Amino acid sequence: MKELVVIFDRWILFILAVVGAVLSIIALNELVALEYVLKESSLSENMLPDNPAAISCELCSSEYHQQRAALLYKDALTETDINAARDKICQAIDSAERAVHVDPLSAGVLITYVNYLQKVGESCNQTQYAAQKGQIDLIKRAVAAAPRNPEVLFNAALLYTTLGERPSALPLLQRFLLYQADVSYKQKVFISEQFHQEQNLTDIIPSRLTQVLEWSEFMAGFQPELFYRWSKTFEELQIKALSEFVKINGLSVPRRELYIKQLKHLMRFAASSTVRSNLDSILAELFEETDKLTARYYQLRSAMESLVVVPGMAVSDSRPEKRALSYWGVSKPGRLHSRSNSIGFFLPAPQNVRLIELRLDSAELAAGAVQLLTSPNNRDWHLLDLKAQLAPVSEGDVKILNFHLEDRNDRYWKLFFRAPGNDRLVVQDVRTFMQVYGRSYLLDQEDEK
Amino acid sequence: MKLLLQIMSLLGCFVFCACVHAQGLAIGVPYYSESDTLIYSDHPVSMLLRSGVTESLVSAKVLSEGETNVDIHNDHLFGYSLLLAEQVEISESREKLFIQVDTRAQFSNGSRISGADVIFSLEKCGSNSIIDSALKVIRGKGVESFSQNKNWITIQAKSTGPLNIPVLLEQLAACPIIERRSSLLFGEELGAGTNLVGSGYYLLFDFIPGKELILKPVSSQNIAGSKLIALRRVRSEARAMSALRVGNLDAFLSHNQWVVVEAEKDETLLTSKCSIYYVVFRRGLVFQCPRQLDLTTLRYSF
Repeated sequence: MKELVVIFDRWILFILAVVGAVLSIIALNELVALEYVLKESSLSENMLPDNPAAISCELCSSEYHQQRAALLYKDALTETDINAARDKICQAIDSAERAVHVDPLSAGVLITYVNYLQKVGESCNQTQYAAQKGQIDLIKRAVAAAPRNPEVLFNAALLYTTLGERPSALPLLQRFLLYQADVSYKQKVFISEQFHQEQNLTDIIPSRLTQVLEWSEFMAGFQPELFYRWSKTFEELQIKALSEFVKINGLSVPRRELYIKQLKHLMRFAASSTVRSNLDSILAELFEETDKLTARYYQLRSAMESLVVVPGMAVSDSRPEKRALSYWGVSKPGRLHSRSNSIGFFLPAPQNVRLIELRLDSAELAAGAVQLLTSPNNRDWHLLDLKAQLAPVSEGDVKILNFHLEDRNDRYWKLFFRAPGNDRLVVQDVRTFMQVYGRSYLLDQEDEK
Repeated sequence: MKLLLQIMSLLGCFVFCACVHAQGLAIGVPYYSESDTLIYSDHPVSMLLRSGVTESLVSAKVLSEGETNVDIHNDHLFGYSLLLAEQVEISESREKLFIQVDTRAQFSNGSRISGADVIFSLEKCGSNSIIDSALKVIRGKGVESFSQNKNWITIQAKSTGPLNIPVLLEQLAACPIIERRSSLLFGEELGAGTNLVGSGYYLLFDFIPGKELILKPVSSQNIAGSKLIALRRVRSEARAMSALRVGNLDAFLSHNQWVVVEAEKDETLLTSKCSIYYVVFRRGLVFQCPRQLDLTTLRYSF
């Protein structure tokens, strides 16, 4: 009996020893894993863990798995052996999936995982999320987890477009623009690529003044052709944004100066005469309390339309009463003074001129130094009396000389700068420098654009 | 005595021409009314404007050796070279001609040429009834429509048969490409005075109503010839011959063969044929006329 007990004890001891050994190994592995957990902040390119315990580390955080995935993916890109590279990529996906298991509600983790799945296509299709539907589910989960996180929204939209689900991306891009204060140039380029049709402008650009201003400016510079072709929709957006702006802020706001600055900036990219007229009305009200003269100027202008003209130039215009305008459509007339170039415009019928503005950003120019001539045929010029001029108005550093006229419909108009001291008046962009307002009877100005 | 007069005449021509060369050249053209459609007519001034102020998609210009804008692989272009077109392709069935517009090219005001400008210009050539015989109605026989996809223009044949490529190329070479925006705004006054924006070496710089148009190089580069060219209206051939003899004109273009007979009586003058016109010009003046007078080659050889 004793012998039996001894044998049994030995067996027990043996079994206990074996169990102990196994537990020790597990514990050791977990210690190794724990070591990685402790060291995960220092996980770097040179410390890619190949220990199986570290791979399946259950105690590790999602950040650890994500970092590991990133290192594996980076390694795979430099791998010369195709099979080894594929292996590492699949491990990277596996690690990214583990991060999802650890932190299933983290939008960033979900987005990163989908990103890996898209990068490698279907080369590792062992996962349930490899199929498109699975990826869409993950993106939805990510957006639901962080509905106001601009980074998540933008990345989700990016992934949707890669999956061919562009309609789902557009509202996300709109939300991204609402929540992101500073949109990078690359992001703007990507978003502008989503403007496949005019309707997409309203799908994506929120009708808020800041965003509308930003996108009007960007599109006018980046894709001017589209900006003009889709001016109707830009006009809608700008008018809606202005109306929202007044509704939300009112006009007696403490941040008046900032709003004036924003409105004046939008003036440069006004998609239509109607937008400009709306802006003038709002500015007139904003100036009413502090600067009556400027308020009156904007009020007068708000009742006029921006006229469509063809700018021209007369080079070496020593005889302004005889020299014809040419260089039609010129944008950079250069230096203007009495011994050199004059500028002017052709007024397409049927339009009447009531106001001509000259915007001076640096050079000084006395109103009396400008002579205005008109002609019915671009050859016989007649001097106009300019007594009806209002005092110059300032917009920041820009001084606006303005010449008011009684409804005139002469076809050719010329501005001759007679003062010898005007040598420093260099015009970089004639369309910015010279603006013409009045009454237009053109039925379809859009076609002219 | 006669020899002495001839020497004096030649010397006078030399002194005068050298003087004119410094200031510009004057080319006489038969009288035309202010209301005439200038660039689309078969009047000599129309050819001169198309040659100097505007350019076309393809050119019939004979290129000198070493010039590279002839695509030698494009044997389907029947000797035409590319000008404002970057590529010209023909569909296998010859029912479509595809033209890629060279958007690096610019109009005289600096704006770049677009597909919309080209479509507008082709439509304009097609819609003018008083048009040079070479232009005729582009969208008439054989051509159904033009369409544009960004910088590519497609010319579609009618269902009756394939495009007549040589005729079409001739029409394209004669059709001036003008700026759409300014042309639309000029409306009925397009071509009046200086109201024309093209991409040629010259721009319409100034004019004197009823008398002359003055062309000025857009840029002084690549211009072998003079600074300014005046296209002067002359009321009769006889007056033009007198103006040539006294040096008020450097050349005169006319439909009338009589000017050739007259010019042969004067040793200071030479004659030539350019397109459908007879050209009488002062001795020493050189120019090329590959189908139309090339204003950029116009200069005195001494």
